[in-house]
Amino acid sequence: MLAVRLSAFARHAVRVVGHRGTSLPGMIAQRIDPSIVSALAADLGPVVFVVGTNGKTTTSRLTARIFESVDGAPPLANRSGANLAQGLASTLVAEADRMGRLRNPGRSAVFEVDELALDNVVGEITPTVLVVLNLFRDQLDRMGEVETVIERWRAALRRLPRTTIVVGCADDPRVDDLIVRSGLPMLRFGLAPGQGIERVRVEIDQPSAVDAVACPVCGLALETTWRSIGHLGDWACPRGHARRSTPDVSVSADVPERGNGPAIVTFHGSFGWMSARVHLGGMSAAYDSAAAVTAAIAAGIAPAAAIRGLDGATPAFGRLEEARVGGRRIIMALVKNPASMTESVEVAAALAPDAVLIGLNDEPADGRDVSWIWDVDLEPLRGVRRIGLTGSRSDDLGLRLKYAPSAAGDPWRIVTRVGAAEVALAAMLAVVPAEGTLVVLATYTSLLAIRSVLERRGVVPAVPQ
Amino acid sequence: MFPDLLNVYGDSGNVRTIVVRAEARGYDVELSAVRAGAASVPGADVLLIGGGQDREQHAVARELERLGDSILTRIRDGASLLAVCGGYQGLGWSYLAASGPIDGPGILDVRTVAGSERLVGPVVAALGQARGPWAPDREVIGFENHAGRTFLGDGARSFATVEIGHGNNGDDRTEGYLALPGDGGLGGLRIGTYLHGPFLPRNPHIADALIAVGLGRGGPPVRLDEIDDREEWAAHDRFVARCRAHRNRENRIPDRISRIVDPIRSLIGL
Repeated sequence: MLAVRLSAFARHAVRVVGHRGTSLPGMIAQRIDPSIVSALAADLGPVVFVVGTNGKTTTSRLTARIFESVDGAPPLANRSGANLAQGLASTLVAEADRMGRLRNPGRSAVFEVDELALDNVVGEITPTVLVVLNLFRDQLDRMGEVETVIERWRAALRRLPRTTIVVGCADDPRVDDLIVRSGLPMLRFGLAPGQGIERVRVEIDQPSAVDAVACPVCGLALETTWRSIGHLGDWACPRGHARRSTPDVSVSADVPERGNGPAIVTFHGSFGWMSARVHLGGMSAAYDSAAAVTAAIAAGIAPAAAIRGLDGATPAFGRLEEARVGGRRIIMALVKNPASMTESVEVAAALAPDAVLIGLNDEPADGRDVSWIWDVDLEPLRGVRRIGLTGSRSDDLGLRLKYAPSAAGDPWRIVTRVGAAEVALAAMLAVVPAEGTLVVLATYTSLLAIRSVLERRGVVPAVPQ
Repeated sequence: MFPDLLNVYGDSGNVRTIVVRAEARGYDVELSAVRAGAASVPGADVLLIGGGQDREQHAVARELERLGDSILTRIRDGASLLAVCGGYQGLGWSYLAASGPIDGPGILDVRTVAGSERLVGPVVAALGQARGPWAPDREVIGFENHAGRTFLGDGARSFATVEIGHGNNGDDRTEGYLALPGDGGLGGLRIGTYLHGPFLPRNPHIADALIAVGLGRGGPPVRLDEIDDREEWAAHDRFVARCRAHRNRENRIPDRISRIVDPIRSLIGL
């Protein structure tokens, strides 16, 4: 079949050229046969889509892990860089045989989908389960405003048949309202209230990753009894128009001190309760685990099998990924917006690291506007003895620290500030004692640069493309 | 003003810069928030208003109309005002948004209409002919992201002249609005701008001007002690250099390459 052959040719050509592009093969196939994606998708088994601002990659990875443990083979999945319509097309076309049919009909699939691509993608592939993780302010220069994203998702949900089950975060009022209004069958996941999440704070001189969320009925600001990440929490309209529903799957996480060893995540629901051990840290990992388990349940997998399948999960690229260099531990966290970075800062501080390296670039993949760093709460890092700044916008990080709230006592201990990743990493490793811990918090291309230094040293595997 | 509604672009950094730079000169700083529903704007030396998303901007517009006289009173008494993006649009005469017209109190002599494409990117702009209370040889820098096209009233002054970026409307190279103490019979310095970044930490000369004029309370600006801002200026200069280098690189791509590449791109639909 011409579309498949040409697309395969393009795939090889792209590889030879060494380009990381993933959209060209799918684009060519679709040019020749516009119906190829929907035809191939029709042969798939259960299909899970994952959308949301934060946690797409981890949740997709965890869901795929559960499917693999149940099916005995990994589901079809896209790389995080291929989460636009053409990237999905490339992923599918690569699985086609010469006749233009899927090589393994009935194979399940887990796709992470870009926020702004969802409405396009659901026109061609109908998911069995759609996971809506959360909606935070993110890369305003590309995404536009939160309202814009919600409108696009609303349009996408209108295109879905009544057979699609939508899995949504109970703690995110905008997500909950979106799904409830769509009238589609719904399963909720959320945090089980517990220690460490009573952090409601509204100060005008403090940075705030919290967007005010208005009641969908009366427009008054929602009130919360607890909050976890950003605006996520136990929310209610002050006039009683709407409130958080009890999740079908609630999760609590027990993270060991200083981040040594796996975290124990415990799930509660109509099935009782059950735990899994995961090598993931932070509250976001608890959310992502719950989303994956709920997605699996929605796809017809028994809760016990889903939770068992999660056991032993490891992080994706830059999601608290760990490397060791000469006895020193390096923990890398990808940061991309106020909510994800505030969360990562807390996780980092809890590890009591000897040093922290913060990397900020302003390439399109990072977001060209770096002003969001001012909405991140960096105070938990104040006790860190050695801080390094790197990336093309490390100057802005320096100013951000200089103009941190002036009342606080401890000065920042900035030991290095240098744009080049390799130099910055070497400088930081030189000041971390043997057996010590260095935490790296960096935006996408900055983390890629830092990680590639470690790849060359052979201490982390290459990022799969 | 309205920190809970207009807080989208790290504009809280502007508040912090005023606080830190005033405290560094030995002043005690009292910070108050004007929230929706407030009866009036409290006495202040510096007023700051930031940017927001469309929905919040509609909510704030009603408040600005209601509190307009109160804000004017403060400026008459000598308070400095910095209005960024949404706050800049909202304090003008009107904003013809895609979702309908919004009237403003006209504290800044500008009118804004919504454009179809957002103007997004880094900005370098030269401070204009206006003799502001600052060294005129330093540019202002920032990041703009706005759909609004803002036009100055007759005889109104722009804050700066765009060297790189779009500015008020992408057309006349003006950026922002400036009224000096005494203009329009009001004592305060008034600046409207589209520049985020946040604006003040990256432009310490403007931060100091707002403080010095505000503390003058309608009289001459106070003299502020020198403080160590080598870090700010180093960052400022590197940013300007980087923007210029980037622009020069873009300009150097010869026409004949695009004459070859463009037809191919359009053929394969890129």
